[in-house]
Amino acid sequence: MNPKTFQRVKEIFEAALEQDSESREDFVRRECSPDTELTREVLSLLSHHDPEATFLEGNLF
Amino acid sequence: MPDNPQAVARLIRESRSGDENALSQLFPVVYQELRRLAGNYMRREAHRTLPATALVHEAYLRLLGEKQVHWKDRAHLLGIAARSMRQILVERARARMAKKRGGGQHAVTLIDETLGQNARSIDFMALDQALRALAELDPKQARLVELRFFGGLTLAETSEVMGISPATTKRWWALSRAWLRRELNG
Repeated sequence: MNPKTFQRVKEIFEAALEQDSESREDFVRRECSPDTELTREVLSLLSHHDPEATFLEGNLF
Repeated sequence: MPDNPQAVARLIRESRSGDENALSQLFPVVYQELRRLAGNYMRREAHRTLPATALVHEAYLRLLGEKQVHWKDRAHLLGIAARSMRQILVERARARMAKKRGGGQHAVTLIDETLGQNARSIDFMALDQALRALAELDPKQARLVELRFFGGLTLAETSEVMGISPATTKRWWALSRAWLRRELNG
């Protein structure tokens, strides 16, 4: 991935989070079409999204 | 090396306006102070917990005293402290690894009694590497993690230091976390 692609990924990832979780995948497929690689990347990131916010949250010490 | 709040405040102002020389003088001061503070806490009771933000703020107070400084100077210093904290933790993890390697073991995960529950399972060397990769794609995404995680800054403080809205900070934080989580799990 290059910085330019990443900005596109970022845009769609952020917009996808604004959607209901059920319609998220359809939204991403629609936005990324016909770029399958972009679709895969955004969906992969969404699958690692941590709404409970535990990863890297909390005190270090 | 400057040892009084006035000198430190001057260095902050100068380095903020892009003076590389001031920054190279300031960084070791902040770094040493944080390391000393971290060392003190780690020598105390093993079960004591302390947020990184307390360390960073204590370092800040000790370096500047009660002196009123411009918020941009304050933000700049917090940024340097967060960078120092990252470096300190990665160095400790590396030293630990070297020790374990010497003993013929291949422990990758850092287990350190002085770290809080949340941080114990984190492989700081891998995290550091993943952050470098993220910085190449989008430096701001990596910077945010440094401030928020290593500097222990709140969302509000992070948005102040980065000069972005709290809503943007929240969105970027979600993306950085998802990206790093994937890199570290994979």
